Amino acid sequence: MSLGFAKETVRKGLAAHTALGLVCCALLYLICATGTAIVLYEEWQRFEQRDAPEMTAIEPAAVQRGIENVLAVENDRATTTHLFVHMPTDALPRTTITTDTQAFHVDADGTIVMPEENAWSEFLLALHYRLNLPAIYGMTLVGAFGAMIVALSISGIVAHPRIFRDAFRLRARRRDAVATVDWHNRLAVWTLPFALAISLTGAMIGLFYVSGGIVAETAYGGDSEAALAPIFGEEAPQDPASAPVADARPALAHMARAYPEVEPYYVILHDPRTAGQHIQIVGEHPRRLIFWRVLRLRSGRRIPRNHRPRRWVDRAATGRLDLQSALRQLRRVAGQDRLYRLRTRADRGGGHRDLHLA
Amino acid sequence: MVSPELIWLAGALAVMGIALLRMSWGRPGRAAGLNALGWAALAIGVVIGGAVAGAWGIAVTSLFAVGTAIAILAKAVFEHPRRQRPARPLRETEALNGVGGTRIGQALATFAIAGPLALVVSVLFALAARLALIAAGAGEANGNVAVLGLVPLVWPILAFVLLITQTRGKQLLLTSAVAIAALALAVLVGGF
Repeated sequence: MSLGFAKETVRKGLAAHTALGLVCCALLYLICATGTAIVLYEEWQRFEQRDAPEMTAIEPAAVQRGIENVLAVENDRATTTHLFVHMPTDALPRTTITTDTQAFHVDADGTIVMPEENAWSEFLLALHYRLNLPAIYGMTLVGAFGAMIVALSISGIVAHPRIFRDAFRLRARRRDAVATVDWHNRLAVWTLPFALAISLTGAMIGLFYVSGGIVAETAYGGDSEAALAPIFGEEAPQDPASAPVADARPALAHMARAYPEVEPYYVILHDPRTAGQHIQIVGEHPRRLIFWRVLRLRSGRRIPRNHRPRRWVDRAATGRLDLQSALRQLRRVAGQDRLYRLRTRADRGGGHRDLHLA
Repeated sequence: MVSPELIWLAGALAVMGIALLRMSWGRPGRAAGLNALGWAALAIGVVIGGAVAGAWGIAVTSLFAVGTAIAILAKAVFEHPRRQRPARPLRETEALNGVGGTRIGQALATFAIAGPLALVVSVLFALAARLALIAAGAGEANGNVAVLGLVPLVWPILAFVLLITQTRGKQLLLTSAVAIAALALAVLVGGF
């Protein structure tokens, strides 16, 4: 059985496949090798800092204590714009609290134990995502290479007329180039669905600066926030007025009550200690590849837009929209995740700003 | 609600499908019946996997299929050929022929057309698709996401087609045709 391409098309396809491979192979190898290594991102982190406190679970009250402890440590500087609490998971059974400038491991009581040290893991991750170049160039380059894997897959199919007939043919013991070609063809053919899925999604992420930027430029006057708003939702309005730090306990209690099958593994405080602060809960869903679903809650009632995608962007310490930070967050939740946004709304009259849930 | 346990049935069908295809393709002649059975088992497995757990179910079912194929191939690794054939060099292709002198210029031009130029045309195509989708009643979010999804899909396809296009004139004609079609579509739906 063959795919039925004409002989001349096959010849041209093979030439294109070879040319693309020659141009892309070195950097592609680096991107794929680091991508393979970064599958073990959590394990690398555990290996790097073996004495960090570990736990299988943490009480919501301890999470809140940890948040307050870390914010107290930073009383001598401007309050962080975002605070991430990594909840213990099977892969990374640690509670780590990250601000705009630093990160700490806390124990099961929420007490700060030590700073996070994961430079090697972050190096690997940055190498895979952006070849350690500035994000706009690095991610675009990596995205382009992802697109080239798609092109290599297509040209490989065209160049392989007996793709089905030869699917189980592996002449590994031959002492010539046929053995190498067989290895190449068999591995490529059988991993093709995954290669296409990985390269296409990687290219979508990597080429975001190009495709998202051009949408913003042509349809929204260069306003990237406006371009993203229909997809991820508008950013919650900021209110810099001072407020007590939001309470994560009712948010986590609500998650446990309403979504017992979901394993929350990130609690994110946006603009803590301001009247505009709000909380997001990132939860892992069993047996799902979906990215997130957003649930917005405020003042004891749910806003009925829980199935509508919301934008989730980050603001860097400078206060400007920072796509790199946004994508870093996207990466944190890549996989079987949904995002829940539990949002506080400042009660301007009474100054009460804790999250209330029915 | 489909029972989550059915994922095992999907996996079993995927394994069976690969095994049937191995039997079919290992025969000297064409075995249409076995072929059909193998593909049917694979397809039903994927459908069940999708019904059980969406994309996750399909991915897991595919893993069963790929794992079975790799296991079958692993056996082939240890099989010695019946007789040792004389060594055969790799097939030469045009791309492997010596590149030098004027061919470097040609190669750079091909790179520029299949690379940056094809990317620009792909972006135009995606923007036109966005306008067409929105004009057809799709939501703004879907339109914007279409651009994010189409650029990395159209670019490699266009690059490949350009690479197998023989003459420079045809390459430029093809890119111009896609670009003009995209612009025409955009004008037609009132994007400009």
